[in-house]
Amino acid sequence: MSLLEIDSVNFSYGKNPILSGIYLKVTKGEVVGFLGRNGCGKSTLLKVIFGSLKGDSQSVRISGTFYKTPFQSGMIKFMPQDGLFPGFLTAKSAAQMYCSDLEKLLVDSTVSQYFQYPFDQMSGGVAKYVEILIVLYSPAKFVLLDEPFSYVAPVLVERLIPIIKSVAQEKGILMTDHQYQSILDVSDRLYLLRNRALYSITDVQDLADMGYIR
Amino acid sequence: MKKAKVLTILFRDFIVYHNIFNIASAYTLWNYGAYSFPYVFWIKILGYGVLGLWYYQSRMHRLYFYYNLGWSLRSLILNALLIDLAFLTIILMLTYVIIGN
Repeated sequence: MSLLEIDSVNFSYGKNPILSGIYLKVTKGEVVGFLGRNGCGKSTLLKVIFGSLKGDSQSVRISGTFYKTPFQSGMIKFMPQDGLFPGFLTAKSAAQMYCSDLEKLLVDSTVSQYFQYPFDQMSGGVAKYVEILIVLYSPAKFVLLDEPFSYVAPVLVERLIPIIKSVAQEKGILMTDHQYQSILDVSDRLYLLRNRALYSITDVQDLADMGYIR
Repeated sequence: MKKAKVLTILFRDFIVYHNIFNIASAYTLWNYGAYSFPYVFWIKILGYGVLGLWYYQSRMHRLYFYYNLGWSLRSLILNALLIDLAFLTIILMLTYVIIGN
């Protein structure tokens, strides 16, 4: 079984510790979500797992194999919150470069409508939606999504949630966002990143108890 | 083939700014001849510094496009430098041939 396992993640910006002793595992077939206030280290945690940021210490293993820079394994892809593809690239070229499943991609009406367009000719929300689908339908075993619902229209978020659930049958997905209701809808397991550590969340009341929502 | 495509995309970001420094190097060589090579060297170093800073300030998020394809920052920089060196060599050789004539 494919398993992404992260432990002993410690990260600090200068003398300011952000993450401390984080442990997390994501298996094929599940969506793991985590929430957290602004600046608590959500994006940092994803980047450390992906391998683009080096923590003070971290151990990232994919199916039991340790990777110093996991993104070089080809088994993990990351969708950053600020967009991914160069603006001059068309969705078609991007999908081909990422070896995405074109058949599944083109089932989506928004993707098929904008498939021949460069990303800088799409609106910000549509571009992000298309980018997310290209990453989700790539052959990577694990996908990390950093705020996938930001800037995306509610109607597209509604379409994205079942797509993420469906894709998660074949891969593991780790994601974070501020739209906690959408994260609750899509996640099989949920955590809250608070005081540098991850806390397991079972329902909305836990979020209120921990001060994330009122 | 895929590698060439990735490098083309990477260079498309840089090409205009890059060639400003390459043309400045060629201009220096044109005006001052072979003795200007140390200046050409420093123009290129300055160019790399400016381009690096510009990319770091404005386009760092773009690196994730390459990371997702398995490219590390080191391999991107190395390949970019090699291609730039090839560009520079061609431009300087052309300049030298023209000066010779």
